[in-house]
Amino acid sequence: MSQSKSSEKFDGSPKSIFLNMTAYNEAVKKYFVVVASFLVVFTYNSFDLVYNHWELIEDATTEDEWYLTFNEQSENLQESRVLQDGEMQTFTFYIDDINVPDGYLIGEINITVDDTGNDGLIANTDPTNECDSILADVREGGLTAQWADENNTLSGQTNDCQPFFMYLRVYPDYDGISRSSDSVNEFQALLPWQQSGWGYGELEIDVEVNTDDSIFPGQSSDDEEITITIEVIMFEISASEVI
Amino acid sequence: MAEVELLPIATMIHLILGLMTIILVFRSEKSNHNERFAALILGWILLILGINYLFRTIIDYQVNNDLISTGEYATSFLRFGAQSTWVIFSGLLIVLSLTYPYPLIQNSKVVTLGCLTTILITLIFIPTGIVTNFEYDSSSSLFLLFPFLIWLGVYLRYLHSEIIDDKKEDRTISAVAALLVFAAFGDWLTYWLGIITTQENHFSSRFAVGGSELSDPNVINMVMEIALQAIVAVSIISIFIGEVWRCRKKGISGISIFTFSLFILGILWFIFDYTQMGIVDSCVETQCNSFNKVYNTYYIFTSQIIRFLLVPLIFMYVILNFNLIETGGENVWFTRVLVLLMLLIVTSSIIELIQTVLPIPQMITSALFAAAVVVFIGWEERITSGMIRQSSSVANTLLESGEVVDFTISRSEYKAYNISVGVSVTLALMISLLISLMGINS
Repeated sequence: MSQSKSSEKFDGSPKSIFLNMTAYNEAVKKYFVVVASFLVVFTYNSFDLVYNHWELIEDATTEDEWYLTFNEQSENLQESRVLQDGEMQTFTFYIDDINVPDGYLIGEINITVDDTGNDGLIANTDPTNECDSILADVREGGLTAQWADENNTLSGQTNDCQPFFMYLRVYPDYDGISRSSDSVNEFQALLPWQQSGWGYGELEIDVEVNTDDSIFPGQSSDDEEITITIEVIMFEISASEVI
Repeated sequence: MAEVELLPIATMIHLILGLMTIILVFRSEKSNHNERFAALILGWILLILGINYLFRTIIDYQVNNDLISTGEYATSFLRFGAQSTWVIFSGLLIVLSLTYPYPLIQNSKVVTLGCLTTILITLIFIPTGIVTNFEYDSSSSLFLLFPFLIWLGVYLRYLHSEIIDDKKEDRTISAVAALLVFAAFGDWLTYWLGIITTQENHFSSRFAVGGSELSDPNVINMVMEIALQAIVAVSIISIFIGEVWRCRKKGISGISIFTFSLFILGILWFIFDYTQMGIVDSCVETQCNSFNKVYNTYYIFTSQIIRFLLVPLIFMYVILNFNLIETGGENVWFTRVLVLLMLLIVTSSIIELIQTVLPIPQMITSALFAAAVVVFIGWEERITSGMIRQSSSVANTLLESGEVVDFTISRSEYKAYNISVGVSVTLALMISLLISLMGINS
């Protein structure tokens, strides 16, 4: 059954080696099938790589410029209390209670402390009236936010019967201003603006009132109505490629 | 993490086995010259893989402990050294395939050719690779076309002579050819179905994007890598079909079982890979996400064990079982040390790997290891003789059937080859070090 082609004596020459290696026709045929299979697998895999993957790889490794814009929504929380002279109270706002729409995150909180609802009105219209002194401090912690951000205003005071404002940045670097970013794709451009976990917890604000006696009888009071309004700014990010 | 644990073990195994094999080659004066030369190449292959894994171990240590930044790594000696040793490894496979199991050059010129091939590859491909920041590093994959074309040709030739002409002794040659294919392509064996179905291209894309910080993806390089993948997939399928045919005609053998296991492993890998496609594509579409933990464990227990533990075992099995070196006489104790060392290191690493996955107390694993040591020492002679039991030499088979001529390689030629590979490795490392220090490609 031997299919040996050669009956020559083996002498170790390239020719005799070749004849020995090709002694079985079946083996040679199968060998060519193997080589052809290699070429086929190599060809269609290369084709698949070049036509289905290469463009994606290039996109994923080339940075493009993306323009990021913030769509904002806000929700207000308000609480009013009457504080006695020299009294300090803590106003607590449960930020978790806010209904944050899908896709939105909390970016920042604007705080307004207002005492104009009581004698402030009188004071504003009556120059003889003395204004009370109001001090407010946002208590650190309690809410997941950027407490160390240099743009924060976490305390304030007034004695001119005007409301005053405080500010707390909740989301890292959020200022609501559109910007551009160099990223390989939209996902990565948006990635820094999709962290969850910010704006959870409660915001506590300590308020202290010191009332001033009016020189005019009947115009002084020992208490003060303080209204704190919290404006929670929520944002949704969108990116468009700069062409 | 487990790769980091396996790499130092692999480094140790390869370095020790490589060094001991080279020593044994010079103590095997009576061995067939061609086979002795093949053993010398195999010894160097193990040693160079050991150096490669040593570099990778240090790289992993530095990266995991934040001792090196991506920029520093990109121009580091360790990166260049690892890549350079891989190029030499691929080059040595060319020389091995020309020599063993069937010598395609049947005179002592094969040594000269081996020296020239190794030095030329070192001088051409390593500096070019470093200067081009290894953007075309897959070009060394093309070297593997030689072992693929030669070993599969030899496998088919001797499989046919065994089955058609009932030459039982020819099985030795086809078995060795199959084993060498498995050892040479060990890195990719388990992905054959993924390659056939183009699923592996998703992984290639992932790695190209993930590694883009080091070197820019390059379509030519990726196509060359596909050549390697195609080589591996076609190799395992061809050997699988061959072994099925042989099983029908001659009955099952150890090599057949091993081939079938790898074949099935490839199917399982395809399924597991398929479950991770979202994660694989994440790198290209969004950002790279990590693989599932179970998937990683499966990867360690299959691909990693094959690459780091099974490949050196296959090489050693070929060296010892097919009489490439003298295992008797004065070399007996040396061979026994070699076999026991190999078994102990592999056993300890497997036990440690199991411990990383299963919550087995250290006392139990220590006891298991102690038991293994006792078994190995008690049955030392039996195990060693089991490893070298067959002792069927490919060269003897070929000489008896008159399919090769007996030729001699002088001791000085072995030395010359040793020196040329040693010089190549030294040159490769020096080039890597100098270019790294000069920061040419940064």
